[in-house]
Amino acid sequence: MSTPVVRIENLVKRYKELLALDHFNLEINEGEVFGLLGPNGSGKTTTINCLLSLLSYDKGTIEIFGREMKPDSYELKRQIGVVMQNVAVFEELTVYENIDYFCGLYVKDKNLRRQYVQDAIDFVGLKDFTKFHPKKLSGGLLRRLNIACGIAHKPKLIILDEPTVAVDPQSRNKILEGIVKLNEEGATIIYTSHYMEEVEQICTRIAIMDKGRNIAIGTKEELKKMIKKSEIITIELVDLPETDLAAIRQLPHIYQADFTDHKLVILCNGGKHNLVRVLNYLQERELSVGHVYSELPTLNDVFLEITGKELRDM
Amino acid sequence: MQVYKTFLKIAKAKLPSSIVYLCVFLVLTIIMSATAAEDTASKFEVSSVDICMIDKDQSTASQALCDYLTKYHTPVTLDSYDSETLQDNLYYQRISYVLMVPEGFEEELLAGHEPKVQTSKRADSASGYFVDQQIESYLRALSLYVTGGSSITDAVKQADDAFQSAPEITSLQFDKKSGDTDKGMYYFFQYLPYVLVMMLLEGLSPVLIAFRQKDLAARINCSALHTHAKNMQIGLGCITYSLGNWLLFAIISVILYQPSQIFSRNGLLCLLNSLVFTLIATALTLLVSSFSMNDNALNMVANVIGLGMSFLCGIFVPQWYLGDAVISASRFLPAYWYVRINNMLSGFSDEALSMDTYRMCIGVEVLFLAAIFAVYLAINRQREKTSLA
Repeated sequence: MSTPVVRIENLVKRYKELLALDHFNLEINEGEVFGLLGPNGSGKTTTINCLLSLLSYDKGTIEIFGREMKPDSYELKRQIGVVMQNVAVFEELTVYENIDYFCGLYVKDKNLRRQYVQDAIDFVGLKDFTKFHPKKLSGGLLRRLNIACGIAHKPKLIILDEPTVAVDPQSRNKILEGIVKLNEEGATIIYTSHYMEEVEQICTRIAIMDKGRNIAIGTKEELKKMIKKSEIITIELVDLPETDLAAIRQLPHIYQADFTDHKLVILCNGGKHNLVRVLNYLQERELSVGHVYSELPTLNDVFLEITGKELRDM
Repeated sequence: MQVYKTFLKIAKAKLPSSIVYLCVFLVLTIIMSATAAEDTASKFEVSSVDICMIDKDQSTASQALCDYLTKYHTPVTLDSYDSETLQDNLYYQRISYVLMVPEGFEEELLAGHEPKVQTSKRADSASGYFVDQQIESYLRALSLYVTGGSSITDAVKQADDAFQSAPEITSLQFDKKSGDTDKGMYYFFQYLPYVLVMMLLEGLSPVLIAFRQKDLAARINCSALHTHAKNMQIGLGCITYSLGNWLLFAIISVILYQPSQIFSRNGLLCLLNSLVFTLIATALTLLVSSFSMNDNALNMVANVIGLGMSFLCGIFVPQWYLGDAVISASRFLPAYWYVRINNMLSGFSDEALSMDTYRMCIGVEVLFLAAIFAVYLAINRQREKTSLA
């Protein structure tokens, strides 16, 4: 088995009385798009900062590409690209100069750097804005510049810390597509976010964090299997007698059914054709049906079931 | 040298705010230099004032005093000598000085007391103070000879002889102390600390603050660039910027005041003094930029430091006009020692030019430089520790 790109073992980080990371463990393999999902304050950014040696920690070990990560591990840092949560560029430099500056912190060769900068500009689609100063860019373009500055030197490991915060949907899609493309080109990605849809969309494996702990880890399918709920069926009805509701509750794989405001909400725990089975029963009982919805559980449902709270409430 | 190059690029972008101070400084210096060039001639005129003398004693001694003053000043006769007329003539500048010798003047002198005279002058008249000094000196000499046993006639003769052999009035003027150099050069160096502090705080601080922005600093810190290399390049950028500023002013001084003056001994001493102060201003800039602040706050801090130091240390207001308390406090600021050297070299102050004093003042400036830099390093080390924790 190959060495993981990132290995975090038993990481503990305290801010005075606050335990930000509580014996946190993580392994990320080469070629993954790994999502760190959790509400604000769950420890995602602290994990990233410890990983990059921007923060000291109280206990534990961090290895990147099989070697211990320390503040002076410059050769390791050369292989890492970072896109910070906040846009971190020089206001006084143009788009091109900014990308060239940050690329130059990794790549000494001028000709190679010129090529890399051009590639990064093309990659994020800022070709028409190279001479613009950051102040002249829209929020979405600014985020793209932020990404270009982090990935221009073609790193093997790219860490993106909530890169889509406050970005319009169009730019967000562009950014997400770019991340997938970077992964396809061979980079391992660590992606932190509190937007579960994004994580579901692009991540091959996901760790859900809460209170500095890794509460669940796996592919999105694996995570969803961890919880009881596998399907939510919602059916609009004019009326549903209590006896029928009780009968529906007795159908296979249904563990909860409620009827309120002319809506029958059924929670299933596995099994197949649950919706068909319920509709057949209602047809037999000659109960007229309105709109019908069937939803699979989301990562929010996973988080809700494990922690008892919503991801977005945090 | 990626950081160094970027440092200079950002500094270039911040240049316009510094250039404003450069322009103001040049205009101020040129005006002051032009004024200084006319000073020598005007100073000679102040030694000859229109003076109205009222001798109520009509004695040998009082007549001798009036004769003595007549040698240097122009006596003016008025129709009336009542108080109102005298005040009107002073107000309308028909006369600059009024001397009234009271009755009993000679008797006082013979009794061994220093006799008193009544005088009036325009409040804003510098020459009036000069006449005060002449009268006081003459009367003191007269009194000395009488006390020594001379008769009034002999005392008058002796005093006249003594003052005849005394140096010319013009030779008493302070602007001649330091030789034949143009005072304009000293005005240039006098105002230099203010403009240096402002240009460095307004031009260099924003660059340093840009590099210190939390997220940018984090991005640089997690790059492959060694921390030492980064610090060295930023330090080199600071030195380049500061010395570039100093060199610019050195070149301007050569253009304005000719190489013969700037490369004279006094000129070179002024240049060295300004170089040491440039380094102090750089250390001060580093210290100020340790506290991340926005442009408005930085502007406010720059003005407080620049103007505060200039007024307290005698850059805008000569040190001899400042109160003892202010002077005592200003000794704790580096600009005081800079200005003291400049005053000494230019002859603006009464302090005689001495290389020992020069070395002492430069030494104090170097101590300030070391102290400010040490505080900056301590703050930075603490900040680095905090950011990692």
